[in-house]
Amino acid sequence: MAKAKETTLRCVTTLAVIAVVCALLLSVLNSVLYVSATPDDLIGLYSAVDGYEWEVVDVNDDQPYSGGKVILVAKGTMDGKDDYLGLLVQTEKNGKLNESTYAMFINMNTDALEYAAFVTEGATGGFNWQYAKEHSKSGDQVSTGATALTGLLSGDKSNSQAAWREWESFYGVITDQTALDYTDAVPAKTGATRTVTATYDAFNIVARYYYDNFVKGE
Amino acid sequence: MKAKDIALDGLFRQNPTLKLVLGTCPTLALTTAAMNGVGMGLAVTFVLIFSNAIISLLRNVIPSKVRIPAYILIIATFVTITRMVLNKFLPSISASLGTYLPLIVVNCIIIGRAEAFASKNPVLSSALDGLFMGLGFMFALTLMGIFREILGSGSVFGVKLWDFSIGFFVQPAGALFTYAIFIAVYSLVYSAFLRAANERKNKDGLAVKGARGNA
Repeated sequence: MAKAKETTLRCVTTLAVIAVVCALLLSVLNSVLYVSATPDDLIGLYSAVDGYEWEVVDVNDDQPYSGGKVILVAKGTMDGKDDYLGLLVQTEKNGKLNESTYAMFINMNTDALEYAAFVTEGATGGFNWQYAKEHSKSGDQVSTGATALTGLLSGDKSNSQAAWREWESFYGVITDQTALDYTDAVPAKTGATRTVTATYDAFNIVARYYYDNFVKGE
Repeated sequence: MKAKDIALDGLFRQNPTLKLVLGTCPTLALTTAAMNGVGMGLAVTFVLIFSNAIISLLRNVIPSKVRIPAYILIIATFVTITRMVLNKFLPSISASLGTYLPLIVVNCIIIGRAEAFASKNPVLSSALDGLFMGLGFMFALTLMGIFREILGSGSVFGVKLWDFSIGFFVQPAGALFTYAIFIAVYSLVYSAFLRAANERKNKDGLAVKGARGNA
């Protein structure tokens, strides 16, 4: 009995020591090898801003947002064309879904969110972005998010509420299909519901960030 | 074990891809382009060298009952380091390897060499085994990548050769077909190598017997 206990203790101690050493090594290397986001990460994602010059704007992290954070803000300019704001949003790890990064482009002249795209998708199985677009009741989620954002920024409460409802309906549709529609045509996927939540969070964060930093103070 | 034997085993006699048929998932999925083969091969080689060395160093410390979780911890650490390094310095290769990069943790070659070699041999031999097994893996993946890229895309290492291409070779079925061809060719070459080695041994044996008879 005593020998068994001793063996168990030795096993646990060995694993714990190896785990601690590995974690320490990785945390040291992480600070050396960490790759921070740059405006280059925005290039090539949205054809309407091809050729734009991007200038980094300091990220304002005074205001915490639920579900993630803005990791890069850059202002895109080009002679004679609308100014754009490019944002990278990183959503938090949520269960089996790892951190995801989204790029979002806001036309600063119209205050409309024109385009959104995954930079890195944290789903462990392939969440199908195209499928989500095709099965959203109110158009693809990018335009739905843009409508909601425009409604939010317009100051018109009823317009804003309608837009938010539309956004929520998009959210519901994608969540429901996880269990029902998807299984027929496409292999089952992992982390889809959490991906939808992360997408929803990303839109929310961008909308609030843009409103707090570029609209409210004007 | 001699360094020459370790090198020959890793590169040819016990080639992890063509002889042991290990690590088939990245082999089939990533060999659509030659550069992917080089990138994956380098990543696996790095992980193999260091995980083999550390596991060999700790072989008398790690209790046998928890050896597999301990190996996985060590391997996962080196895979994470590889991922960080590639993200930092070679982001395009990191992107093209995609999810197969973190999945190196469960690559049978690495856990297999840890269990079969590193846990029983000294540090230097284990590191050498990691190096040559990794190079053998890279060699096979790169050759398959060149073959599939030339036939499937009409290019090699991204350089366009001609407009002619057979799309089948960059499809999953093309991967299995190519793998089968490579294993068949390897088996032919390996059989010829064994025959030649046996003939040489027989000749040497006869020569020794003859020398003894004369004496």
